[in-house]
Amino acid sequence: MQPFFKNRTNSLILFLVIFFLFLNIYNIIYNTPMVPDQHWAQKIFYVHVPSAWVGFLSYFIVMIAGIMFFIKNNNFWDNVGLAAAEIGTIFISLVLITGPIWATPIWGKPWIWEPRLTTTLILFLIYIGYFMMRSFGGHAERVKRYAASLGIIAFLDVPIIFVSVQFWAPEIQSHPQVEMANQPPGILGAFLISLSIFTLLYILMLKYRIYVIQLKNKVIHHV
Amino acid sequence: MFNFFNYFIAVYLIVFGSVIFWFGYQYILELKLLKTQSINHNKEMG
Repeated sequence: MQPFFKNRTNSLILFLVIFFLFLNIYNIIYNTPMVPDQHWAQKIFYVHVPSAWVGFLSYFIVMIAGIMFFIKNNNFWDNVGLAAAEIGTIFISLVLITGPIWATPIWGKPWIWEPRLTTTLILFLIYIGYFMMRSFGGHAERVKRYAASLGIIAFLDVPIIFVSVQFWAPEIQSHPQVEMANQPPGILGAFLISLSIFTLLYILMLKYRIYVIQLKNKVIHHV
Repeated sequence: MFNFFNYFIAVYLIVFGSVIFWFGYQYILELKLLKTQSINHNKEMG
């Protein structure tokens, strides 16, 4: 296998990702409006929400990879599932770290046991279990089937996170319930740009991780 | 205001720092694996 970034498409995507990430940060700092009560803290939202989006998208891909693994019984889909689960967990960890950093000045405390935070934490813990199962699950072929099943089941928590804001009583909600469509135009545009750039970053990360896993399997099976 | 700015900087450093660290880690892993693969290949060729 040749090095990942020797491939012209991959190096072009890397270049685009770096360029757009710098552009995105510049845009967020200089072109987005300051929200009165939150000032700079509000700008955390432009990386916090896209990180959550990428995390959930990644877990969706874990589910698709799980289904495809059962249909095709092909190692490629197991590699896709593992790569997506790893990257998804990195981004959900970032969400769980950056959320409390935003909440500290805005809510006055970093963590509140309200529905959206709790269900996101549960999703994170399910995936910690997923990796433990991958490491200590026993026979490799059996672990692949267990991982595919768990990836499909774990995704059920994602729609629960999305509807949790409406589903549970408003008294126990602390999350901003303002619809995105009601935000000022400067915020929505910058947010969508950031979302697209994070998605591009995610595509590159997923491709790279799948490549490294395949390379690792090739080297391990050779020895 | 200054306080809010610190939270903003902290978040951006954590998010982009993690992404850069992840790429660096994958790159080192890739180099190691390619090296092992090349050693195995040379052994095969004698």
